[in-house]
Amino acid sequence: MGKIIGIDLGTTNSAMAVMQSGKPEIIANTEGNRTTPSVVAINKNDERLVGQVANRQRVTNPKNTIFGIKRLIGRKFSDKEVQKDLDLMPYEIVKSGNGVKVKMGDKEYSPEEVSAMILGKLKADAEKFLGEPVTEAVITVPAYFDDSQRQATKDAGKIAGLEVKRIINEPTAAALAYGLDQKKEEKVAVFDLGGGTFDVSILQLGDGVFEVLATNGDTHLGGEDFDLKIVNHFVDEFKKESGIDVKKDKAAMQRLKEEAEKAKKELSTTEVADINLPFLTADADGPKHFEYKLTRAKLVELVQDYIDQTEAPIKKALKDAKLTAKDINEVILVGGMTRMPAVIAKVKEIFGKEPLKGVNPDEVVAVGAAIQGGVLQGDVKDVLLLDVTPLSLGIETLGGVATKLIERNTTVPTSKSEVFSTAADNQPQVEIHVVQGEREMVSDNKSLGRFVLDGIPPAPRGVPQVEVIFNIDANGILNVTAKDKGSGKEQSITIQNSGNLDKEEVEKAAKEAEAHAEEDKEKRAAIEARNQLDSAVYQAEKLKSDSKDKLSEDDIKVLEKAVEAAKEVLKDDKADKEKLEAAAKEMTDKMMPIGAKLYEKAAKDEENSEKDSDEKPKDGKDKDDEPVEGEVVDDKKEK
Amino acid sequence: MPKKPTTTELQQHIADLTEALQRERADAVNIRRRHEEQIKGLKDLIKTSVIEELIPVIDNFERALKHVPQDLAENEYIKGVQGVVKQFEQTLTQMGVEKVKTVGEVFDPALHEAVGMEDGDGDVEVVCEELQPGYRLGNQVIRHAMVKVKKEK
Repeated sequence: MGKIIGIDLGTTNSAMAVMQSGKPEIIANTEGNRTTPSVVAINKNDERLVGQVANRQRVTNPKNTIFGIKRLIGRKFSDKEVQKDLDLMPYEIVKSGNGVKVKMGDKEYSPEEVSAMILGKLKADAEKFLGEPVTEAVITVPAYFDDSQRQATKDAGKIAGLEVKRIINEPTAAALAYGLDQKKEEKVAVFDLGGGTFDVSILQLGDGVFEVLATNGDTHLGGEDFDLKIVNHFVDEFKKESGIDVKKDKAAMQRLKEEAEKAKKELSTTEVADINLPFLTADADGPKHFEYKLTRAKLVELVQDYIDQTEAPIKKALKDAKLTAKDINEVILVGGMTRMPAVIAKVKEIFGKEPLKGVNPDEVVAVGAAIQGGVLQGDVKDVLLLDVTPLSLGIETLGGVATKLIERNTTVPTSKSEVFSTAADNQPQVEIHVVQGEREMVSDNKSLGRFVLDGIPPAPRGVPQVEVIFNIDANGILNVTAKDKGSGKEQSITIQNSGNLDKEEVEKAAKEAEAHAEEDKEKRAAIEARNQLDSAVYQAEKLKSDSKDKLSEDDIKVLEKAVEAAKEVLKDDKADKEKLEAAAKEMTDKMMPIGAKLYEKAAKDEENSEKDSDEKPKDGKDKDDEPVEGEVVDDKKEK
Repeated sequence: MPKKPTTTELQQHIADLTEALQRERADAVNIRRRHEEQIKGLKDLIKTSVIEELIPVIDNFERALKHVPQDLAENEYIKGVQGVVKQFEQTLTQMGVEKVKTVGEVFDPALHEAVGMEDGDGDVEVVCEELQPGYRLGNQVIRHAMVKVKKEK
């Protein structure tokens, strides 16, 4: 069963998205871009090129490179817009019945067929991305599209092998992407300033429908105009400085264009953009560089006229809808140009309210189309509502450290297990203390319950393997089981309301954890260092008792002295991490040569069981291999 | 009191749930697969995006060397700088970065971005001038070469 993809079939660029596990996700094309130019070409080898690759050969093949086909789809040849395009477009537009066709190579194609080529590439790329066939789609069109334009768009989908489940309006898709639905009575304005066109739509939500009350716009106003203005400003500034006109120098102009786009983007977040183009061009006197600081204020001054041009269409749309700016409940921004602070300021000035933010304005329409597709496919969320654990869950380990097994925000149902061990020789039982919270120390977290697993057969510390299993079911009920792998004995506890926290409680816990993060980390590090030193002492004592007859008297003395010194450090409750670590290092430094000597001897004797020595590193230098031992001890590395 | 669901309703419910579960399973498998692909591609992605940022610097190095004044051409200092630029280029080569071939090659929009067209007799589109070099890493084009194209026989 395939997925319904959402397609924003744009005049200059197209984008697509799909619902994945209840969330919309933009589908990148095979070139790795999140938008695809709506450009189609047929080259002289009769190859069909779609997207960026068609763009790159445009100047070599202008007559057979079709762009802006959306301006022609579903139109009559006699339409004013078509007549205008006849002069503007470098490709040939011919009359076909009442409608139009465009010429590519020797053949004539209907706008539906050209759009289908774009849709065909999107379909193929989506299939590659999803790894399954795609046969159904939701496609967006401008709110002002009439029936014939909508039907033509639907036909384009059909030609491309897509069943168009629904044609929806671009502003409606944008509203859907922001989660606005028909249940609430609302009036929404959608401000769409894209690469080449400006559209404003006034929507009425409620009674189970999205109704378009009015639309207006300017079909030739967009980001490209803004860029051109900045480039021209750069050209003027450079001429002032160097006396050279670079307009005819294509390489220089390309660099200026790229820099203008970059500066425009940069000035959305900074106040000044540094333009630095060394060796931009050269004359008889040598190379010329362009260095310039473009301020946000200057940028606004350059494009203010364009920004102001959006006001009249908005006013007109409001008037047509018989509304005033005050009646509008929400304002949505669509199109890359709406990232510009001056544009946002203008929108705020006109509507007197902050526009909605959060969804990428280049992708918001495709996202909305995907959401519509998800709705048509049948809402999965209604049947399977998935929850997350609001706080981390774990158990107490040696030194009062909270060891997390399940991190916060993990989607449930889920389960996780980890193996722990004992902290002392012949320890007969372990206590499992289940805690909840984000802090490093158990005392700062919430205790959910505790139980004892006993009957552990006598063994040296670190040897018994106790598996602790956390299991949360779909209802948030937590079950913790501890199982001694040696004896097979197990104990468990069920905690009913591990997930039942109100929002405030969760936020408080998260905030506290953040506020104490540093201090907690230090505390935990000190305890870990202490555990490590404790473990080193244990190893040294074990080495001494296990290999008594193999060690020289001097070595035994060295070990004893080292153990004594280390125990002295351990006695001090306030010993910090550095002190503990230093002591541990000293300890292992002393043990290492002794251990090494033993191994040498063992190798010579060829008698010692190799396995035994493999399992018990005597030098303790490799922290990762060595279990950190505790009351209940984490036997494995975390993660 | 709520009505007891009929067998048909329950069967429908089971069918719905099964379908929903299948869908989720499929999603999970696909997401995992894509995740693995992304991780695999991440190394190259980081490499290409770093190189992409560095390319304008290389461009300027090359421009700088093209503009060495005549009387300084034999200057030892300039020679040193030339060495530095050469080292930079060699490092890129070692990383697997190659320059896109341009002048004399048949125009290929997969590698070249045409910004100009010159008239000529013939119908083979050939790159006649490179305005900005292009770079590729294996089969992946990091930046397309900006070129002028001429029709030749």
